[in-house]
Amino acid sequence: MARILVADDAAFMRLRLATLLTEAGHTVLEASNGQEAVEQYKRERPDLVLMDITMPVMDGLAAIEAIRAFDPNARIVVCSSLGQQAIVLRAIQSGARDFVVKPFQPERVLGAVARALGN
Amino acid sequence: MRADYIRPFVAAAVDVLKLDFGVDRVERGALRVETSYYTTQEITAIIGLTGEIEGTAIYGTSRATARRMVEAVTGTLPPVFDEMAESAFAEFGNVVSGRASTLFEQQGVRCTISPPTIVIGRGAIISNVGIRRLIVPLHTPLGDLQLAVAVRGPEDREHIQGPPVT
Repeated sequence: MARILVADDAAFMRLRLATLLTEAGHTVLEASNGQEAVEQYKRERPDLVLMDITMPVMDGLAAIEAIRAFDPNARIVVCSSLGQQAIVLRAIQSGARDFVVKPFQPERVLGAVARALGN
Repeated sequence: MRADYIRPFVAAAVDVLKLDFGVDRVERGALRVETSYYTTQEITAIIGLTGEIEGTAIYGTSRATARRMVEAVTGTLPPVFDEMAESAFAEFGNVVSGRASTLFEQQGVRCTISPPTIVIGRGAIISNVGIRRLIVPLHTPLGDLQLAVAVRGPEDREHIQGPPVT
C-alpha cells in the first residue's frame, strides 16, 4: 500500500478522500493549498499526490509544475471540480497521470490511484 | 439574464447531491427572480464566475442541513455547526459551480470559477452590480437548499455596450 498526499483546500474533501484511501489500505498525508503540497512533497516524498486545482496561495496546476520540477517522476492525479478541456489538457501536459472530475464515484478515484501507482 | 443560465447549476446540484452526499431524491421548487441584496439563509456560499459568462452563484442553506450533509458522508452528525459543516457546504457550492462550468463548456460557453467565500448569518449585503438573481429552491431529505444565480452572458454585454460605433 502507498503513502498518498491529498492536497485540497476543503477540509471536508480531505476528510472524504482520506477516509476512502485509508479504508483501501493507504496512508494519507494532507495539504490545504498548493504551496503546502510542494513543501510536503519535498519533505515526505509520498508515492502519489492527489491534487485539487482551485486552491488559495498556490493553485494545483502551479503546484504540479513545482513538484515535477523537483521530481520529474512524481506521480500526480488531479481531483478537481473543473473539468474543462483546457484545464484537463494543461494538467496532463504538466505531468498529471490522470484527471478525476468531482463529483466522483469512489471507484473512479481508487482506480486512478491504482493505475498511477502501477498496480 | 437568460433564465436558462440556471439550468446547468440545477443539473449540477442534483449530480453532486447524488454522488457526494448519497441523495437520490431532489425536488425542485418554483423558479423566481429576486432583486434583494440581502442573504436570507443561515449559511451562504458565494462563488464567482468569469469568462464568457460572468457573475455570481450563491448557495444558501441552514446550519442543520449543513450538519446533515456531513453526516451523510461521515455517518456522524456534528453536534454543532462546526468547521467541517462549513467546509462541506462550501465544497458543495464549489463542486456544483465547477460542474456547471463544465456543462456550460459543452454548450460552447467557457467560464471558470473562484474559490468559495462563506457568509454566516442572514442579512449580509451582497451586491450583484445590477444583475437580478434567479433563485431555485431544492428540497432534499437532508433539508432545503437555495440556489441563486446572478450572471451575465455575452448577449447581455452586447446589450449593455450598445451597437458598435462606426
